[in-house]
Amino acid sequence: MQFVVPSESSGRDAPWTTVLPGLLVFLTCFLLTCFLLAQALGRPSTSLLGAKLDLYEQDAQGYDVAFLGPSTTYRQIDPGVFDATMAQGGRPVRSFNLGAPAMGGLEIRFALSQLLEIHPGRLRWLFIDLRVLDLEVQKENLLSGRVTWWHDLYATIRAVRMVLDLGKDLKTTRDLIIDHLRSWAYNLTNLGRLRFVLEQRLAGTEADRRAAERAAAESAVWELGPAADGFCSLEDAVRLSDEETKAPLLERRGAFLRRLDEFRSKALAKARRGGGGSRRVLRETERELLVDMVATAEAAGVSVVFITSPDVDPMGELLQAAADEGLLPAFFDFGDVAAYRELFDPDLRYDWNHLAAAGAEVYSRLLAERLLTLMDSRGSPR
Amino acid sequence: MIFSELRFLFFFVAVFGVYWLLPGHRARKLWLLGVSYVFYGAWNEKLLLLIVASTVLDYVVGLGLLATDEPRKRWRWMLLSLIGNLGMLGFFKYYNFFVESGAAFLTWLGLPTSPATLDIILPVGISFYTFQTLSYSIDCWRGNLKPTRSLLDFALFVTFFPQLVAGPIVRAIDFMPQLDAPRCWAWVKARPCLLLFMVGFIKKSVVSDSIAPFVDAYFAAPTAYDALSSWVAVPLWTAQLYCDFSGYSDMAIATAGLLGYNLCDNFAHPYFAASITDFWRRWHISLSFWLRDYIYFPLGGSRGSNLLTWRNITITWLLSGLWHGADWHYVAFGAVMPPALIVHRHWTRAGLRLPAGVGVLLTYLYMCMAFVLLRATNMAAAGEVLSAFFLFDSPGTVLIGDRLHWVFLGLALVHWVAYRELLSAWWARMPRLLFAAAYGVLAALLLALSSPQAQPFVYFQF
Repeated sequence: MQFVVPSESSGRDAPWTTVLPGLLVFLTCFLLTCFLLAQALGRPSTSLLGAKLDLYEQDAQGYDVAFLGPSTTYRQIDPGVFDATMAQGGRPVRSFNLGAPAMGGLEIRFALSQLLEIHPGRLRWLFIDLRVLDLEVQKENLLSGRVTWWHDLYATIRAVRMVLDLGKDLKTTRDLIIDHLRSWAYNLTNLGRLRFVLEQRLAGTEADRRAAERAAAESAVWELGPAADGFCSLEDAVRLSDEETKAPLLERRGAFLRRLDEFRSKALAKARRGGGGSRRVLRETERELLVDMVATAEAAGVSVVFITSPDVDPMGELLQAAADEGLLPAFFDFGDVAAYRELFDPDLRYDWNHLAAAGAEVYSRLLAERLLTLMDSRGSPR
Repeated sequence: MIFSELRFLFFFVAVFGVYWLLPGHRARKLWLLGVSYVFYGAWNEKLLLLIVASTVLDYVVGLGLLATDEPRKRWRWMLLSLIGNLGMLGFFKYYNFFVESGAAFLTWLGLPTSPATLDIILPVGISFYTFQTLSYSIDCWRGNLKPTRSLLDFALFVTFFPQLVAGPIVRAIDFMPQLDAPRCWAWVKARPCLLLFMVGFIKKSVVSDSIAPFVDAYFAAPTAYDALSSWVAVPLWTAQLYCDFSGYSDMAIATAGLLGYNLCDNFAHPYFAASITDFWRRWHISLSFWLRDYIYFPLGGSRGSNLLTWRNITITWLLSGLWHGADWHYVAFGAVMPPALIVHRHWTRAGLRLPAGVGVLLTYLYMCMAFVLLRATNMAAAGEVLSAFFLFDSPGTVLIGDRLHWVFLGLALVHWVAYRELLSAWWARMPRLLFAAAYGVLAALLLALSSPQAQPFVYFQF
């Protein structure tokens, strides 16, 4: 077939005005369909945060307290222990752990908005453990359902601004911006999401599909926690998960046990230095992100408490700097070795950065006790 | 960068917008040449040198042929093009194959060998653009085409990005005259182009890429599956191959059309072919006709005795097999064509006829066998698949999937609807704004159905 037919009568290019109306209609219908499709498809099942929000939403009673943050939240804050301590202190609450491995600042901000859309009425307290910002996503995760999901327009614009604010060289800046824009485009177009559903329907035999469903249900137990409260200790993860998930966790445990002396000396050095005071200077976009998180939560009647988890590495410097500037309405620094010596006991730790189940119990109790103190100091009604 | 990637859509929107906004014909051609190099350089910037070398070689050969009428000198120029182009193709594509095959032969004879293979990467599209530049030199040498003095035009003919990496194999005689006249947007049949691009996208990104994991799993370990699975996997592979390659051609033709250039058709519903001869008039048409015009006819075609004709058919198809890849299973793919073509030739000459449906079915089954040779990693693996497919003999017990045959039947139905052109008139009659709205809705649905990680086109490896 001839797609280009030269003719004598039409020697001049057609004006763009003949193309523009069609283009506008196309774009409108395209974007509308993308939006409707995203609504119909719901949260991506491949995202742990999505699965946790689904579970959170299913509870008719709702929750008073939620925890957002990376694995140091996911693996270390036990809502059962937290709730029990709060009840003993005369302030009964129900809490839920929304942490997910490697959850950074931008994903936390996204999760916050998703969370507030669900139960804005009952939620009163939100704990945020902010360690990293999500500006440099690992290549293999870049196009995953989880990463593309949090790249909505708002998060992407913020990400691009933060990348520009980093002041890195031109190539790195360009690559990072392209990565975020690509994730946003994938999110906008729901790229591959219907296909994923289709593949699940077509793969293997009926028996294979049933086995896959069973495996998904089993993995939900260790991903969402044995108590279905979003918390799964590292020991439980090793006990309940498949070999593929288990292997790196065991490897990390082994590496930690080999470096126990180094850990002890680092903890000791950090204790000598003492807590408080950060040499880190906040960038303008980081400041904006934190202020925005607080304002968004408070507008929905939710109080935010920022926390740094017990770590010998300087992971809490961002929050420490923000606290020094007075940006944080409440800040619990569990990275202070001198103040929380028990959390740095190697017997309570699973690996270099994470507490074991016994450590998580202590940490969750301490967290609740600090909240009780805070509530009392603010005069919150019992 | 490939057509089914999201970044290609952004690339093309930018190319398209700037192209039609540029005022002059020469500026537009320069723009197209520049973006074509960017497009190719997205794979490997260093390989741009190769395509530039190929361009310069045949441009110079063209000038040489233009400068002389003396047959001996003209033949020398032609020889230079043949040696340069085939030398480049031979080195990059066939060097290791011939060295390894030679070593294997010497070992078989009991002679000591130490094959010196090289770590060579196959430049994407080399088989396609080499044949294109060769056709230019041959046509100029034969006097069918006047060599161009414009390096810009010739470079654009070689590197025009829609057809650069996987065809259709465009002939200079068809394409270069189009470069003479300024292109007008009013000449472009935009709606058919947009539809064809969408059809190509569906074939590649929705159908082919969805089938690929199942086909890959089967061909990776055919003996693990039961014999019945081969009757799902092999037809699915034929569907994947067709959708992948014709999808690419569709998108190439549509993309070129939107820029004001016609490319030749490359597929015409090949699985409805009633004979092998008919099949090769419908499958990879630009290669079939290239082989016919530049190898089969110069060898003598069918003008001589039966024996000579058989020889010519055999040589042509063995070379076709080698064109597809440097391995013995590709040669085998070429080698199974001549017997079928020869039988069909004499069958037809004898005035014998098969009912159309039977012819279609037999041709399809024969091509299933041939395409297994193209897909398998080696001859032994091809034998395992064919044994399961034709003899129902497989030691495996795994069933590939109990719903996949419905996918194949669905695809066959869609193929038939397209073959009978049942929907094309409906699309053509649709009011402009309604078409734009429907296109927007479909585009959104298709992106959701496509793969986030775009798979490379199967024919890129050739």
